Amino acid sequence: MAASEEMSSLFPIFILSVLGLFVVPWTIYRLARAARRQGRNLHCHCSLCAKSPKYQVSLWRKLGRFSTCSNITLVFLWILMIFLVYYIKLSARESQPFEPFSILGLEPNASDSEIKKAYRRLSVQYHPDKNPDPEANAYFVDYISKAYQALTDPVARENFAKWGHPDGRQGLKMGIALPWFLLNINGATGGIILLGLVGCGILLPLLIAVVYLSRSSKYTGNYIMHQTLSSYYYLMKPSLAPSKVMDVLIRAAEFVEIPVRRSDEEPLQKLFVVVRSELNLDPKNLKQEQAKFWKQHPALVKTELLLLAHLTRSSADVPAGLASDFARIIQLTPRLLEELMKMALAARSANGHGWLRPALGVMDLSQSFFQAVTLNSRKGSDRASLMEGSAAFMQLPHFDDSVHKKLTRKKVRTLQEFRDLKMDERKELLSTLAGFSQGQIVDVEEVLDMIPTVTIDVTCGTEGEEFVQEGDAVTMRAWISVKRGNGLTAAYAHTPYYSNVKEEGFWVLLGDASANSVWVHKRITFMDEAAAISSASKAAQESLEGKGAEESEVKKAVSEAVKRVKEGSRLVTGMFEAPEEGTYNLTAFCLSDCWLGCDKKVSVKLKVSKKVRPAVATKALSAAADEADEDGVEDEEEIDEEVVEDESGSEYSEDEEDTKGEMNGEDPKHK
Amino acid sequence: FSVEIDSPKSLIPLETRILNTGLCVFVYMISSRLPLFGISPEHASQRTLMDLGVAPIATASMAIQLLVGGNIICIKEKDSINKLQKMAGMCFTVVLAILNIVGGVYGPIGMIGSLLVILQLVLAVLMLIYMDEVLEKGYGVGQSAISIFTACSVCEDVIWHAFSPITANFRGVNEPEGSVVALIRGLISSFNMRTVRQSFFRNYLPNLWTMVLTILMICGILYLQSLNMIIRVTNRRGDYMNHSIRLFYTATTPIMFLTQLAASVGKVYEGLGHVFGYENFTMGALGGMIYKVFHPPESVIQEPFHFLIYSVFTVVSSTLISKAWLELSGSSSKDIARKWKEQGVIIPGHRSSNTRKELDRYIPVAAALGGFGIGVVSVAANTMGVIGSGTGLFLAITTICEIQKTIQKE
Repeated sequence: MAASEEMSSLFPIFILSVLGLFVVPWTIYRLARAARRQGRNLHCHCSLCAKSPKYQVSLWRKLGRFSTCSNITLVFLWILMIFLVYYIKLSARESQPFEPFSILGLEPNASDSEIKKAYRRLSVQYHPDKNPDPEANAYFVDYISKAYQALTDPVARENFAKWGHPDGRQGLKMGIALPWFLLNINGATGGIILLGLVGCGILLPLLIAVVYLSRSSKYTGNYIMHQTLSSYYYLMKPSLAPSKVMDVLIRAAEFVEIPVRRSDEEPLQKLFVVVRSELNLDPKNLKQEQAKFWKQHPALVKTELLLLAHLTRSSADVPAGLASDFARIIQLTPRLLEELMKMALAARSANGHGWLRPALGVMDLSQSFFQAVTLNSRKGSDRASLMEGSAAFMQLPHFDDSVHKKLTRKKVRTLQEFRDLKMDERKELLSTLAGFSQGQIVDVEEVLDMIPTVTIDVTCGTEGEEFVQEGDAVTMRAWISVKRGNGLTAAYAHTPYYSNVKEEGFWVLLGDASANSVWVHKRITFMDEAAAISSASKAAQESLEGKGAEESEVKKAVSEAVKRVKEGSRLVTGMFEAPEEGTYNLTAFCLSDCWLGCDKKVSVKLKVSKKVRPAVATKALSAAADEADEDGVEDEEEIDEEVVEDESGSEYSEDEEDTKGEMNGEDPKHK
Repeated sequence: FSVEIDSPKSLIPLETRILNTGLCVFVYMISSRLPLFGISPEHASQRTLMDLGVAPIATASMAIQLLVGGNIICIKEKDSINKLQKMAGMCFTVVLAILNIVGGVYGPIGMIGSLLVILQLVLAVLMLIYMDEVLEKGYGVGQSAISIFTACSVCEDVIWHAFSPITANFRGVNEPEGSVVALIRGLISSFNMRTVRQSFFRNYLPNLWTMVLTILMICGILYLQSLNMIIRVTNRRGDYMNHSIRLFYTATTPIMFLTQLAASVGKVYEGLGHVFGYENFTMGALGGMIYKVFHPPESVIQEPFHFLIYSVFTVVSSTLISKAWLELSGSSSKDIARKWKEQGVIIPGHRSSNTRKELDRYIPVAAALGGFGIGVVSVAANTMGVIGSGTGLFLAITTICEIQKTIQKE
């Protein structure tokens, strides 16, 4: 019979439906994502950025971006599916259930004589005596004679009416919809199939899992090695000078892993000559210091030299032999910087405070790294007045030291002053002083429009309370808002010397500068507006509901928060425990991790009063409790409660009524 | 087997935990395909290493918890309770294995064969116990291996019903077993309404109608599960927190308990039947009763009486068990009130001594309503004949939701 053939025609249908299960949702997901990503043009439009390959969108590049592994697979799967549909259509044969009338070529309800006539006619055609073809023989036995029987023999007729087949009940015969060569397991194929199944189905997943597990024991969740974290934690010191942050950064195990080849020595020597001025070696005993530098672990020497090459913008001088290591170091550094920042902010004391000084140092290095300016050029910069050296100007395209010097002579000392100039004045200055062409001036303006102006608005307080008491959970709410000349909120930073796209990030720190401690720290980006809206509205809602505000008030506050987020602000909340009684002069910082000279800080005064009583008791219990509060003696809750209960026999009924009202109010919601 | 698995020293990254869970599921899947060694070939295709599955562990842990919660045995340390649960699980396994062998489930096997089978089953259950412990201790996502494995087999059922590659020859026509495969064949291969209709309503193979019912059921369960009521509480410091009391407060425990009960009763009946024979009056009546009480009728219209017995029994018992479970498992309002008092958590507007009264208004109601709801859902699901039974669906959805929440949180 044609059973095996039919099985193999079912196989493509099976494959098609399984393919469809994966391919259709996946395609929808990809399309939705592509639609969302379109229309995002967040990068800077100066000529430097336009030239850089990371933003270029040529046809070739589009094609390149499209031809990712998953897209190609998707297209391939669709083609496969279309081919399968075509194949199924082609090979489809109407497989009818057993229908005696149609087999004999008759209308249903044909009379007996007609049945006999038809049977005779077909017998002449197919009977084994008349037709030697074995296929015709099989057809005659299986179909024609059965059909004739079913229509003439009473028993068979009854069987047919009841079970649908003249031979009586036909059980379910099971098979597998696989092509015949897979089912024919007797020969050599059997072994191969078994091997394939065991290999792909069992060994391969296990192997992948083992490889993954052995790797993951080395790496943390952020793709940083455990060893790196521990050495960062160990090397981070409370008074780490900004110039020494680099020495800590290069101790990452990732850098040490980069092999040092014997052939590297000569190029490194050359590189050393280029960046020597940045090493801050003591000129008096230069020889000794140089020897000391070279005595370090060769991987550290290499990393430091290459990083300095990046900072001095002399990546063109990096010899060809070191180019791949250079690219790797540049690629690894942002991640490590972030981790270094976390290590600086990690809780070191019992009250969970981190260190402020090293954190500021790490941010300095991070900014210098992304803008490729040397740490030395930041010298003379003073954090207190937010004055910078030439470094901030070096962010602008076509600027160099000489332009900066000329500007300084014209009393334009900081970038902020330069930005505050009127556009005409600025153009004038640039064209006359520096001799910039029109195109160059446009570039400068583009970047100036890109540099964000950050404002920060911080409040600290205990939720639902007017004063902060010792041991309270204090909530810091900081609205960080960003304004740019070009109106963007989320943007990719202008980082022409850093070879990847850089999403702007900001660190919000609340700390005590005199005590060198950071109390709250959070990193924010402006990329995900939807998430920011939801979190800000949730925060607004919770803070008001905590106070027991009206529903309309809550709604108003939420809509205001949403409006603020849409205008380019983000809400950052953080909790910390209120310290001992006293007044604290805190500083809130908002530090950019890639722009120089747009950091902001504001001072926050926190007054912590003496702990009077558990805050809850004062709020939750009514008048009687307030009286006890004024006495202000009891510190323990247990005693307090007993006192209240003694005093407030009458209070009891009021409470009951209260709850009843609450119940009536709430019940409909939950039905 | 009193070896205990240590808790992880630090929090394990999410990817690794997912991987661990995946590996455990993988091992479970493989071993539920491995036939037992030493049994007759015609039984080998259905009787695998996981023949007993998670039933002995689940029954044992539930029984021990009942005994401890009801103060019938007085053990307080968690360690010894765990050990006891393991021991009881192993004992149950041996008993169930012997019952199965006596019942002739594995065909005629000799003395050595039976010993081999018992050994294999015991080892398999031991493996399950440790996998359960590994996942529970925080190396994996989700709460316990038992629920994850149940969820897995339910998901497997659903997928299999839709996409099974098995073909069946019915009335001379080869039909694919998977309902979606059948539909696609009806739509593409040779478009005719008969095949399409058949893929929806055939009763000899999985059909799409069951699939649709199952999906509807899943939506219904998801909706019921999302129902909760939130009590705002504050702690000593004055932080506000939300304590949510879900409608399915006692979760799937009651219905799982019922299922285990049904299975155990069935097993005992089988064992008795082998000793006394099924033909006599008592056994016949007993069998009929067990069938009527624990199994849904084939058709409600033809057997209304059966349906009535079954539904009333399921709903009433699951409501009662749900309420009883509250007291036994330490999640009753009394326990919670005590816990809150220790932590200094109170409901604003009520004094601490009143907390219990306040909770009493919600928790027992939620538990009873939840038990009732679960009973109704389970009756409806089983009567409609959804894939993977009502309990299975319920457990699967709860587990998957939980895992999804864990992943989302991180």
